[in-house]
Amino acid sequence: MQAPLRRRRAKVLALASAMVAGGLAVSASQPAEAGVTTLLSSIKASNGQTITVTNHLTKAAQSTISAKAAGAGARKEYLLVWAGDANISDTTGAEIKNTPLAVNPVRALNIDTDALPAPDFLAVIDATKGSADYGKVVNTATVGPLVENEPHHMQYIYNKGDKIFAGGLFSDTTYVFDVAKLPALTLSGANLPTDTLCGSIPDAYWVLKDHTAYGTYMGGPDAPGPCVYSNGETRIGNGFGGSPGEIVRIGTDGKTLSETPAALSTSEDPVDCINYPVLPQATCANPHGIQVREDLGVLVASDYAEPRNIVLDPVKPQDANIFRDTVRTFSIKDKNNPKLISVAHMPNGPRVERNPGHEEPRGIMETTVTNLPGHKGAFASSMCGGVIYYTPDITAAKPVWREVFDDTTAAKRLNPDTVEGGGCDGGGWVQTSLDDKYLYHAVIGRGPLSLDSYDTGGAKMVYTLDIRKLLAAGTSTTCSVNTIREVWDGGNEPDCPTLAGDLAIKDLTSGGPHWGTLDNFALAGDGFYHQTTDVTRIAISNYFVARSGVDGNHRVCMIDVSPTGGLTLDSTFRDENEGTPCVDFNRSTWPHGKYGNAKPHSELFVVADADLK
Amino acid sequence: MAVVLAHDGHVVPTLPVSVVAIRWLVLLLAALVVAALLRRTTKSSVAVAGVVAVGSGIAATSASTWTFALVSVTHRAAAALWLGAVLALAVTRSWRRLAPLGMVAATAVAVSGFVQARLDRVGLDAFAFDQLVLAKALLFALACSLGLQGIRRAASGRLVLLESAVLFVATVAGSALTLLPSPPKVGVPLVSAAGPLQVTVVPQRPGLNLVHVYTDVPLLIDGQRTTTYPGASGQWARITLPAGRSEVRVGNRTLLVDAGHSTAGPVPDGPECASAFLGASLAHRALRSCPSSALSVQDRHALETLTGWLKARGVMHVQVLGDSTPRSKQAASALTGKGGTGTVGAVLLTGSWDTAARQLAALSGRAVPRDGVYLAPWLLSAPLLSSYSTTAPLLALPFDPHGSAARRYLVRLPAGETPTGSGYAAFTSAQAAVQIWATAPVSIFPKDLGHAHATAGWFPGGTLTAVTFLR
Repeated sequence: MQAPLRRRRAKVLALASAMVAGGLAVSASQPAEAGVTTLLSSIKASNGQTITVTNHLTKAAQSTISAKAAGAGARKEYLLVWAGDANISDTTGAEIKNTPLAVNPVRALNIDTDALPAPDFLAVIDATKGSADYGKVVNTATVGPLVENEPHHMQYIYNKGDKIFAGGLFSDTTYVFDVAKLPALTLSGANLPTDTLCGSIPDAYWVLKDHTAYGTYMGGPDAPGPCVYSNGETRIGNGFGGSPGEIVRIGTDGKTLSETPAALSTSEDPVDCINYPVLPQATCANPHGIQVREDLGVLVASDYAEPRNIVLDPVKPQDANIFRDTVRTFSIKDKNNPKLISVAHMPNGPRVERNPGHEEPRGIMETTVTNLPGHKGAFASSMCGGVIYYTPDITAAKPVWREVFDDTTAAKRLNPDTVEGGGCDGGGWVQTSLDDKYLYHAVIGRGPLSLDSYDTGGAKMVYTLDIRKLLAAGTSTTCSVNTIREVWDGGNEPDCPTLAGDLAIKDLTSGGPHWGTLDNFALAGDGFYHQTTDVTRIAISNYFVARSGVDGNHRVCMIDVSPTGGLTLDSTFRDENEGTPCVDFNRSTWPHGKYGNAKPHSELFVVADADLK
Repeated sequence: MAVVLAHDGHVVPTLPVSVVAIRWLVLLLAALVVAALLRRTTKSSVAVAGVVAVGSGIAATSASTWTFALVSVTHRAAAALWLGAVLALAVTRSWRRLAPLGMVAATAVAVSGFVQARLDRVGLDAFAFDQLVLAKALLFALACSLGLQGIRRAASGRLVLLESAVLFVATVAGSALTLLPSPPKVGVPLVSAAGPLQVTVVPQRPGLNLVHVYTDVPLLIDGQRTTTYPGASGQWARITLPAGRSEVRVGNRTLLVDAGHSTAGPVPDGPECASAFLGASLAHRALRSCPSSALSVQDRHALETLTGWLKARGVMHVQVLGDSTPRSKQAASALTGKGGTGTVGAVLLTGSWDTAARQLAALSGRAVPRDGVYLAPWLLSAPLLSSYSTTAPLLALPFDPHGSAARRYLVRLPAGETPTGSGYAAFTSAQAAVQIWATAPVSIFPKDLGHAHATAGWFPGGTLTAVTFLR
């Protein structure tokens, strides 16, 4: 009798201890990660304000730095991810409504900590394949004092000696980071709203060979009224987040080198280019994507939308033309005074949509140039239209753009039950491979039931197109998607791009894969990294802009690319906490503290200058 | 599981039945464990029993403040200990050893229960909460009586079992209390729930009160149909409250209110004043007057800074549009001669929320002056900004909406309530250099896709960005 009684008592004691321990454990606040060292870098902005970046280096990063200082240790490649803190302002009514029931009405700790805005940061992730730290966040470089920047884009690709230009969509601020000594980084400059009075809402950047950068500022001048640009020209704008946007050249110290109007000096069609409030000279100039061919002296920028006005006054009908259908080319012979050469409207495609906002040319979010000297073409992708356009010659006075691929073709391969085309499927990142063989494209996807009760949605995916025949055709290209069958089956003409690879992204959030970057580095036999045009992997991030209603699962994934363009998820690039493929930015603790979930918008492969030849 | 602090300063939200049931089971389980431990005579067993009791108290507590939490944990822990001691007594009949422990626990239950009742503002009204507390107190008295009789007779197993049964029922009654809203705090805006609807009653004093219900659907409040109000979210009604406790019918639900007996303080003249009342109450401050009754020094400075900045930008004529409210008249007077003349370049709105809403509606779409539409600081209210976003209004603010004081205000504001410039001014006197803030919706997907937009912050689904750095 005594033994069972003792066992019962032991069980009771164990249970009691577990209860008390459980209560105490959850009650106590978690300290920041142990062993993290901080490194502060600051600059004085143009208005005298001190802007800071604080490195939070984990033990792994410290070891790397120590080994480098001692001239030892393996050279590393990093993935830099520009991420914003998720906080109460990102919470939606649906999330509150659907909060799961718990024993106590508590939410998960990583969500609990998201009530107040916390610092946004550049995460430094070990991207050295085979490294013991592969996939680990080794440094979070937090920016201050501005919070709620809504970190958005950096440049598309990193070349040795470049700075990192990283934009805050809401703070209207561009940060310039020096990454020469990764995994630590410093701040080289910051460009504030008052430094770009003629534009707002910075979107994307292209870094020139002299390491300065062009940035697209999608929205209009900070305040409504006339704005005088650095070239002496004047445009009348309708204010922050309105029109016209501009092209800004930013120095390596963050200073504005030039502000150039993206709008023509004359009015564009006021029906095609609707502006709210109305402008004396209508314009579609809301540049978003930007890429440059310095050898050709041409800058290409695609117009997405007048960002402030996509959700219009509820008493007025929505005008689909708020989503722009235009691509602009500029001559950059004088880098501080780009000259607008052409404004091209993308042609409408064969789909006849019930919602005019879903027609093919709506929302030309991104553009990408070809790279090889013999090629002069460029591509553009529409976010709401869900297609890809191509022009064989961006140096032409009036480049001819044709639709060459509809996302529907790729979506159908991944989901044969697809019943609606690519309308408003959220096509985002589009990028040519550096050898001009392939084109990569990330698509957020359209949620099921978006259009009607039998819409199974559009696939969340990344796909690769083989563009060799298209580019080989030069200006004689005939490819044009102009029949409804080509929407589903791909272009009929022999030079049309063909699907070379695809990867479905499983994700039940409102978002999907929006951005990506290709790895342009390879470790050579000499032990150093070298820049390469052979792309063997790309990284993608699953986040758009939470406050737009399109969020994402906040994961950054690595995708292996085969020599034929095939895509495979790299299952060795795993989250250090969960052990699952992809790095999850929904976590409780970061090297900089217990700040909860973060929103990774864009990423970039980078190698420290000393490790790169 | 842990102590959970509810929103500061207001009625503790009621809990779902499932949560209450689990908490009650935790308490019961703890009592059983305590009973098992108290069968042993070692000091360590008693100590562990105490730890288990406290642990169960922590696990089963929700509270609005740490004082509430302390009292609640004590009450529940003592109850678990008392019930455990009585159960152990039923088995061991060790009166000499366990009776003192039971008496200590009973005393702790009595003291903490009394304090908790005071904190919960329990009265002798007809509220279900009050009645249940009274029933619980009677059960407590009965259990004490049975316990004392047991101690005197020192051998009655029947009395012990009866006491256990009474305590068991008392724990059920105690747990059931958390299913009911506690009586409201007197004389401060009430944030409570009427069924699924969140309701705010401002200022919850005798006389005229505003009721704000977080729904888009009109409903009856004390027989009156609610209406919308320009610049404010949800549905609104004006009701008259009697002194002391009463009930308000919200749709088919009943809301308990306690207006107290003091009529001191302003009568709310609209949702802006209601927002100010709420902001002041969050900081435990008293609102002396509704914001529209006078132009504050800070707001006057903001308006003067704005017109100076516009003049420096070359805007020759700023048209000031206001109304007949004292604040607006004072603003017009302060800006006389500063707006310039000639063709209207920019418009500055200085009226009340409803006047501004009408003026913004007239400007909406495409008829905005070339140099823009500017709003006075008190017009910072998300419904105004989002409903008329095509006018792209800018604000002159004498505070930083992204600063630490503003963050405290945002976090303390009950979910669903709209943060406003006037609410902030009533919440804190923290100021910053006046800056001009652009407003922009950022919902950059068509709304027909049914995406769920953000609900919190100054401008849900939008952003406020400073476009100046004035000193």
